[in-house]
Amino acid sequence: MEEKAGLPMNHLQHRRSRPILPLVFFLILGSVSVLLHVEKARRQKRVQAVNEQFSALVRARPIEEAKAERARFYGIQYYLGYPLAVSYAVSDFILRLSAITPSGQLHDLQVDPRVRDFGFALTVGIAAGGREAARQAFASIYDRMQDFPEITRISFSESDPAAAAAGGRQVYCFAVSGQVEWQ
Amino acid sequence: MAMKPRRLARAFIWVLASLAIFLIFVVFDWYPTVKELGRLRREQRDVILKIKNFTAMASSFVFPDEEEKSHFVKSHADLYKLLMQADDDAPWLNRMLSWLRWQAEADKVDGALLLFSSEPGGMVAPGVRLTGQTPMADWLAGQQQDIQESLKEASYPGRFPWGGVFASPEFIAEHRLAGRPLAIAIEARLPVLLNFINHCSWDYGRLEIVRIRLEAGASLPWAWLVLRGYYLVRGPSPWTMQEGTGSDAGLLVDPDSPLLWQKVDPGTVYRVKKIELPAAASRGGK
Repeated sequence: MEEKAGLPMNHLQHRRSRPILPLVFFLILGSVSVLLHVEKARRQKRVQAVNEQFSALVRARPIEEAKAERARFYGIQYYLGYPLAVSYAVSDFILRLSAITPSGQLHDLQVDPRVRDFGFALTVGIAAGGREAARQAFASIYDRMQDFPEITRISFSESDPAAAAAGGRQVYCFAVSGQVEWQ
Repeated sequence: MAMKPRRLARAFIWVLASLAIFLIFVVFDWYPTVKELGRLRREQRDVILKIKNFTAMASSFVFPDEEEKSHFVKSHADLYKLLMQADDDAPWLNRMLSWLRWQAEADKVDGALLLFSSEPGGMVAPGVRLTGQTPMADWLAGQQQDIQESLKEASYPGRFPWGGVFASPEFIAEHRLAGRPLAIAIEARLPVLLNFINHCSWDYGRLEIVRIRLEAGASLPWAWLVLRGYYLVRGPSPWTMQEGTGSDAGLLVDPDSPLLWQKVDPGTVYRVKKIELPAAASRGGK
């Protein structure tokens, strides 16, 4: 075997090729990175182009703008009539409620109007000889309330035993709450 | 022979170092780039789909013509005309005070008192008499806290439901929209009381009812109601609404409603009229 400076020839060739290997290795890694970044840039440009195309389309035919303008038109019309409509709906509701509740039994009432509906909470106090009689009297009022077509939700609870005395008879209180769709 | 283990160790270190470098590339460059490529592909696909949908939508959408645009202008003008314009809050308050006083007298209310605060959440002033005597002082004292709370709630921007209606540059340009709650304590027979509740919104100021509380009084029913009104103010006011305040009118019109695809027709819009309450005797459940 040919020898140089005491080392075998193939060993020398191997040592010469060694600095090239990391270079090739880095080159391969770098190339993959470059390719990926080129593809990314290309795709970003494409996305930008379709976004611009979409914006141009929206600018040319402003559907959302027209829809918003129409929604606002209907909103204004609704707003213009709202105060009158809600005042009437609430006062009419209380009027009909008072018509089905015997005098003096409607203790208190609260109404909270909202844009399309209103919540109500009322207390009915019934002076009766016993709990059963009071329940029967309340049931008649409650049944008639359920006939109100605009009431969408209604529930009641009975308060604790006789809250007060009226003319020797105890007053049984019933709390009713619910919601009315007035529009 | 001693050289071999050292060479093996060097080769092992070589392999480890190469692997480490490879992993660094993968983790810090390739993986994020591939992830970003996926995101861009999805975005591109979505936008292409949006373009397709939009083109299909646009072909069946009726765009506003001149006539429809004139309806829009008129409705804006109607809204603008409805709102009182003033330099500060006092003219509107005076106007409402005289209107409510007139209405309370016209409805023959036994006693009525106007209550308000000078700023949102502020203390309620002793009150201004609208008509008659105010014999419900004891009851009113007990209700003061609730009235105060209700006025505060009514001035809370989240309770302003007309964000979409007033979202227009003309309200921001010269004047600013102000919304102020007022409370009225009333003592009257029930039909009179209800007539007053029905009538209180009839003025051009259009006060809207926010809350009503009614109680069976000693001889007559007692009630208080919180109303809210809007006006345009030029100067500084604690009642001005910030731009973008409130909700979009409780989604008055569904954004996907087919109604918005066609031209508006003012003839089909229901006009609310001033209607008197019917006589109580004839009213039942239905």
